[in-house]
Amino acid sequence: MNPFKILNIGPEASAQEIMQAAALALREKQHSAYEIAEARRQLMDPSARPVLAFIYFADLEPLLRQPVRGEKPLSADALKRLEIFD
Amino acid sequence: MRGKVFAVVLSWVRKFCRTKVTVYPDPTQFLQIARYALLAGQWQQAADAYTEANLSAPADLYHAGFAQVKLGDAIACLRLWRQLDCTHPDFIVQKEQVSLLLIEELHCRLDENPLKQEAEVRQLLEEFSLAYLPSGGGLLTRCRSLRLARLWQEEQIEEIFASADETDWLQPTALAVQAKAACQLMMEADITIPTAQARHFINCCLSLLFHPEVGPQSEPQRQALLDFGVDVLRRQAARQLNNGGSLLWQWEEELALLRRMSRLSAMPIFTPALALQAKIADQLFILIQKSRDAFADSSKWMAAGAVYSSAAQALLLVREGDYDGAMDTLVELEEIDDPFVAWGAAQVRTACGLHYLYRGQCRKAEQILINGPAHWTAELEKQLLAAIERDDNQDGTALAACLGILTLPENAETGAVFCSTLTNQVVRLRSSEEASPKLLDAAMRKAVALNPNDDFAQMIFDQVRRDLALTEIGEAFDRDCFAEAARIATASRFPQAVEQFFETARQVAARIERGDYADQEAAVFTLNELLDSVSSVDSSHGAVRRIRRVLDGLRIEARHESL
Repeated sequence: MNPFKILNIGPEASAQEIMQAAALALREKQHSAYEIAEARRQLMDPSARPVLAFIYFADLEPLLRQPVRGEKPLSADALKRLEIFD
Repeated sequence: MRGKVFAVVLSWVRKFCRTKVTVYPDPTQFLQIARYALLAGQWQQAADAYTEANLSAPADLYHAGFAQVKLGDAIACLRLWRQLDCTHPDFIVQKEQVSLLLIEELHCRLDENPLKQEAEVRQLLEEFSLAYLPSGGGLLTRCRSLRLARLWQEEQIEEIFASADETDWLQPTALAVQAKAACQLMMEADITIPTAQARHFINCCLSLLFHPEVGPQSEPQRQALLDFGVDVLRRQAARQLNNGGSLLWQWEEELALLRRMSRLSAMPIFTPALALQAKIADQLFILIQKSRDAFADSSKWMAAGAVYSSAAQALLLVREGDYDGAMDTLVELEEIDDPFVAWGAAQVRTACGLHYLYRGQCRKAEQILINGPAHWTAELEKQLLAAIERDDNQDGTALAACLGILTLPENAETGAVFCSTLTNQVVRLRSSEEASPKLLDAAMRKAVALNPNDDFAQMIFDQVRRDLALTEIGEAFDRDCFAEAARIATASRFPQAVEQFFETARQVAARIERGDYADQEAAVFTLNELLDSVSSVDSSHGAVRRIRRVLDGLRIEARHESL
């Protein structure tokens, strides 16, 4: 499970924010107490935290970006009826 | 005049169109209306009428489609036009123009709502085979990127792995998403995941960690991620009965390779399998070709080059256990004049030979290993020894195949081990009496050559040579080749062989004396031949006198008969 998602926090959250998020998550009861405790433990570990942040966050902007398109095709108005079927 | 007629027709068409086309139940009338409307440039009316009509004639199908595209509905137009079996170049060009209009329209749909429209756009791309057009390829790539983004947002990690085949690996973010999804899969898997998935993790993860754009920005961060990677891989490898070791070996080998290569260039460095998939193996191969100094020795340089060369595919097949598939590519590979490819091909040949040896298919292994260049490796030595030692083969065919493969190792210690193993196996086969003496002789000849100082091997070699001489003398007598038997007896330094020769000669003479030969002339001829052969070995031997006596008796008998 994604610990950032369980606690609903971003990759830059401070230790205090993690604690507060864990308390909030316990109150909201969307996840089990074990999952919340595990997420908190993982994110409070200074060596595990950067690894988890790297794995669970990705900048999708380059995938969503509109590609540069070439020349626009002929408009429908410019299409001429072909006589080959007459 | 023409203008007036046209105006009349137009008003007539408009009138009918205003009164709703559904009042005309006859489809032919709709066709008439549609044709007039089309000529008048009334695209909406034409399209409506064509919709109500039965379209079967090519002209009607074309015009119905034309009216649709003029109304901006390229999809409806192409759906109508694909029913036309027309190869006229003007039509092909126009159809392509409409396809380009549709591609532009689909791009616009994606611009408005990229993640929601992607699935429908992709469906249309497939329906009209738009990906075959240059700009359609761009649209397909865009759809794939969007799908990957959507799957990541929806946390459909398994689906991301399933879409690996259509991932644009040269798009750094796509690589990052695939790698991160693979990491999550490995981390969260409580069960044994398929080997292909674990290899995908290795390929993506290592390629990402050495990517200059989307990889970790500092060496400590990269090391932390590498430690994490090897940790999850170890946990997974421990669950995989057969492939665990191979996965860890791949990680270590490819990590060392990528680390070395990343120092050579700022370009993205992919693992061999991913480089092949991303079609950048050629570029990485050239990079290695030019970097001899980066490798400690030439075998490491060759190994690195081979995995990105034309031999890469075959090497990957071997790694995946598809030995038959790898063997199929070998002939073609061995024709390529390149040292890296030759090195890779030899690796493939060795691995395939080893595989068949391990499975007890010694003859097949022999054919593979001696019919082309292979590498003599410690593993090959080990498997050869195991194959020689295997005692489920009583007639020694496995031993014969191993003898074909076995060359003289440079290492004397290895030679001694092989000598001892061969000798033990020969002793076992000799006692079973099913293996041919020639094979045992060949085996002991090789054993003694491997370790001339082994006294036990020398003793067994003498015994099998004696066995062979006895067998060959017997076989020569069976074929009435007395001169050959005499030559073997003379050449043999074993008294038992000479004694066997005389004993058999005596038996032949006794048979003739008993009258086994019906033809007396043939009997005399055979005895003369036997006498010459026996005399050539030892003219003073008692067998000579015995044969002479039988011969004299036959001659006297012949004289009496002639009188």
